Amino acid sequence: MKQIDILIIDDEIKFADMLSRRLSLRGITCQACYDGQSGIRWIKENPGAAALILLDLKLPDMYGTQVLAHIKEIDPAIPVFIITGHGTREDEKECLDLGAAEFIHKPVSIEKITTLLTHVREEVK
Amino acid sequence: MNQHTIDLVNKQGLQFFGSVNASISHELKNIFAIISETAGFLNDLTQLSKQGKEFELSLLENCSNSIAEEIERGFDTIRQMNQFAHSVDDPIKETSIADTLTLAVKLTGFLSYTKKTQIDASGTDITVLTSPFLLQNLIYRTLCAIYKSADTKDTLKIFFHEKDPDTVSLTFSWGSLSALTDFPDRQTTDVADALKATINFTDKDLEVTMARTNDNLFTALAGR
Repeated sequence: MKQIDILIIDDEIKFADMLSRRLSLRGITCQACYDGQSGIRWIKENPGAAALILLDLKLPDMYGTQVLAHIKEIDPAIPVFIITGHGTREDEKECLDLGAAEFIHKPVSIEKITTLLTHVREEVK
Repeated sequence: MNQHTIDLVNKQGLQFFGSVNASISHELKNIFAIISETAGFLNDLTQLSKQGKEFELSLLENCSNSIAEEIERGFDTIRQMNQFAHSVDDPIKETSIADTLTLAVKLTGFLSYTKKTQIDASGTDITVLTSPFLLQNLIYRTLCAIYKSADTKDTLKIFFHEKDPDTVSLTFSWGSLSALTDFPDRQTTDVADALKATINFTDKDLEVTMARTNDNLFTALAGR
């Protein structure tokens, strides 16, 4: 099983890849998936392998809330942070009700993400 | 008919306008997010360089290419936004089916569930004397319904032509449209009625036929 720090599920390939590259420069390991199904498959195949998940709300094959619900069925404890360019207050409420840790609007700073990871790591200790 | 058509444009049209603009703002936010991350990466490389660490120069070239591509994508998005905004300038005018279809395809392309769809559109361009905004609305709704119902790996073929001197036709063909059970919905039917358009479909084809002129719409919207 492949242990990583962050799983990024986002259909904006350039965004996901650039974010992964910047995080890797800071010693943070990432895996990028570009649609909902491949993200869910990765989580099923690598249970407990990611410390946290960054999930886009609008994906080509599924809505982010559907992906979130699947993730929470597979692994209720994993922190999922919604990162979106399009979220409404209703989306935010639905995501938080489904168990998202936080609802973040793009663009998001690299410092914010590293801080999220630090907090998640501290909570696990 | 007249008041109903005006209400349709005012209420439903405003909803349509809002939803298209929301998808455009989403696209622009994604573009800015990529540019922001790329600029951040350039800053990371600058810091590495200051620390005396080496990196491949191709990384810089990739970054500048990526920023240039995203800026072009942004300009393209704004061009489409502008074209869509101007679709309400004239309540009724001679409207190109090809131009309206091209814009609808581009606008629906901003929706996340359409991104993997290949589209092959062809036909002889024809014009109809109609409401460009309502026509855009009808084609956009039709495309959205098809995208939502079918396998996105299929290529959507769209063919438009003059069916007879008074009628134009747009045919949307996909691998299977059998899942398109709740289409046309009430809102789409209202728009189609206002445009004097009919929607018929089989398992694989959906055909929209429309009168080339529409006196009722002309009277209602142009007040003539």
